[in-house]
Amino acid sequence: MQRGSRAGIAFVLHAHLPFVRHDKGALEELWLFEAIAETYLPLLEVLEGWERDGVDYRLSLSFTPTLAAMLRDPLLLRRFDEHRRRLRRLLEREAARHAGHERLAGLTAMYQERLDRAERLFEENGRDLVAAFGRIAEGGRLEIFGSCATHGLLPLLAEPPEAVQAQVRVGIEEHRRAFGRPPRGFWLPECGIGPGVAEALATEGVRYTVVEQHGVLHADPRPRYGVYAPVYTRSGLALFGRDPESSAQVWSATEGYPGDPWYRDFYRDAGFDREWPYIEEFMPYGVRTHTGLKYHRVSGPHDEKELYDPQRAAERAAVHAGNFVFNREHQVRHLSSVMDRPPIIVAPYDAELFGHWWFEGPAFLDQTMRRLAAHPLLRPALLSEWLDERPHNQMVEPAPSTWGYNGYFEVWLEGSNDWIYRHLHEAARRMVRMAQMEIEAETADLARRALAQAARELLLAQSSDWPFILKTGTVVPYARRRLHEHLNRFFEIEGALSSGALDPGWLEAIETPQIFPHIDPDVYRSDRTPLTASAP
Amino acid sequence: MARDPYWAFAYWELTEGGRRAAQERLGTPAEAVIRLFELTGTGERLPRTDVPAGPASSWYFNVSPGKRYQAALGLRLGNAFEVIAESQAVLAPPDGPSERVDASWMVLYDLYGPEVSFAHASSPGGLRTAARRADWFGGSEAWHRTIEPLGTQERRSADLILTLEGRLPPGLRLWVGDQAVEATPSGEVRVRLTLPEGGSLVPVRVESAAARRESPFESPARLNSEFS
Repeated sequence: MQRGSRAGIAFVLHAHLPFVRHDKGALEELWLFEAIAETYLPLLEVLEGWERDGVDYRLSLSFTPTLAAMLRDPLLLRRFDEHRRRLRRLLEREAARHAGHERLAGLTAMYQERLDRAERLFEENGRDLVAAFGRIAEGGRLEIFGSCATHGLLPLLAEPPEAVQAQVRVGIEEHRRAFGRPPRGFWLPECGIGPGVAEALATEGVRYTVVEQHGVLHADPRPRYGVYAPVYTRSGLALFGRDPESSAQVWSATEGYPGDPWYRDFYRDAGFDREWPYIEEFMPYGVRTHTGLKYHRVSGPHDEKELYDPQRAAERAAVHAGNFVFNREHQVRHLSSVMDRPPIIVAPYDAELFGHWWFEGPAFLDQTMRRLAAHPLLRPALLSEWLDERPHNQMVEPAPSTWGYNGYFEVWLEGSNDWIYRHLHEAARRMVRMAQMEIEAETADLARRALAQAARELLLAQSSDWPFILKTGTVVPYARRRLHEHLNRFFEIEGALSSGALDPGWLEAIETPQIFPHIDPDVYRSDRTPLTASAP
Repeated sequence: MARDPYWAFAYWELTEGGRRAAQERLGTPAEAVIRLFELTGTGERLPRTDVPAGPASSWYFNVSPGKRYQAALGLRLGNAFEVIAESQAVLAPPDGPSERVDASWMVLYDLYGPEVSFAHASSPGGLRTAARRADWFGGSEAWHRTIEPLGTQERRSADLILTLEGRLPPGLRLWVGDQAVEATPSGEVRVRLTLPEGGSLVPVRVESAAARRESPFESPARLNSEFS
């Protein structure tokens, strides 16, 4: 069967972490180190394998600007080195501890070998994962999506509209700086769409994005092909709806693959299992944290966990890859019987699910993609090539939606976090006013720097991570602190600018050029041409 | 702010100045309330719920899926309502598929290549337009973005009625046949064409002070059943 008439399966992985970088270090910086070691490097290894073996794969991957900035931050990379050294020392101690216990010693050796491989891959790629993924994308089978500047959930930030515009413009500009070109695909944080969002993306040159299934299914008028064909908004942005079936199989805690009893258990970790005197020196912040050394499998629905068996887990990953492809084939056979064009199935996931949360996830993805690439009815697809082949699509008004719990905004707008929006909106209104102020020539440089820092503080306060943490109750004090710090600094800068009492020394002390070093405060002006329009 | 199909969130700040000004307009002391209005398709504002504004500074209002709402902070005295401040309108997300099933289609050719495309029409059977290169108009990428290609089609006997819509950057002019299409002050253009079936060409051109380029639309040789 011709490639063009096969049904498309589009894997879209979304990689994101909030910007966490503190001069004195912070426990939350471990999020980055864990994600590099457990997700980004294993994904890179899988991609290099496909390239090496000539697999006709297609994968879409988004990097948020905050993550891309951290992946290239020299201070954070030095701390990642320390993190790896600590892990290596812990592995030596674990090896000694497990000498004489064949299975535990075997697992320790597995982790040592994985660390060796990860370090080799990291060094081979010049310690620059952004460039590494960018190089692979040059080949055309990997597409890298852009995203908002700081993972702002746009429909909740639309007061004033310039706040949305700035999240999108800065996101695109940072993507261009990181990957050398503006993105055509754009990951909407939390798949959040609402009035004005599609227009904001289309205005900045974005061509397509992914939304939750009912963003398309409940669109007006009713979409003829459901989520199995893209639709256009009036502004020309193409929307692809998330396929519920393939999502549930991977995401769901109960019916999803990651809950298989043979897979590695995420929660049983040496950082929590060892006696404190033994583990203390490997806990840089004086509290127990995950080490990544986990020796047990999910086992059953009881607390008693059995030892992990990598061989059996690998077999299960292969079985699940086969099952995933088998189910897609049946899905496509059914869809093809009711559609007059080949369907596309869009399967978006958080990238960190693969490897970090679901240890066998990269192996599953690897095997699934290899099977799809050789399948007679299915083919891995990029959203861009699907639109190239089928530019003729229905035009709808999408329904406001997210991919969060219950499909709307209740995760980020409820009792624990609704208080933040009056402050975010007020700060954004003031930012728009400040960006439009006339600046006197003799203080222009200083004032522009202050405006740029105010924009950074506002953008960082707008991360959807903070209300998410407030709701889920994980590291609430940290999220509160970040919100307060960014908003406080924003209002301090605003006060200094409006009173004419801007102190260059103070400004320099609070500036954070590690994130958005080139930000132009004009992104908050709706009367200015988009930044990317003049970009080479 | 719409939270889901059934709930919308409003926050407010009742300032003494705002209350006093409204009270002066009303001429007598009155209770401050947040009033939720439903905005109808015919432009009416129907009051739905009043909540005392004093004790709280935010509220979740019960709303109905697919309807539009606006909240206002004001003073209530009998049937009178003196507004202090108003929110933006919000849309409660629909909770099911749309009742409307009449589909409009759009084609976006060439948007995904290096070529720049201009207003495209929906295309039963291959209505085409040639692409233009960005550098025709000074190499501005803004050209690429500011023209929003859009088209809808409906079928009427053997003819195709075609609506071209788009947005023109300042300084450019659109001609269809020998007819100049006037843009609105914000640059939007809209033109409706009736094309006979069978491959006829409609000359379309865009002019600027510096350049003039022409590119025909080709009407379809046959109407594709997929879209009839």
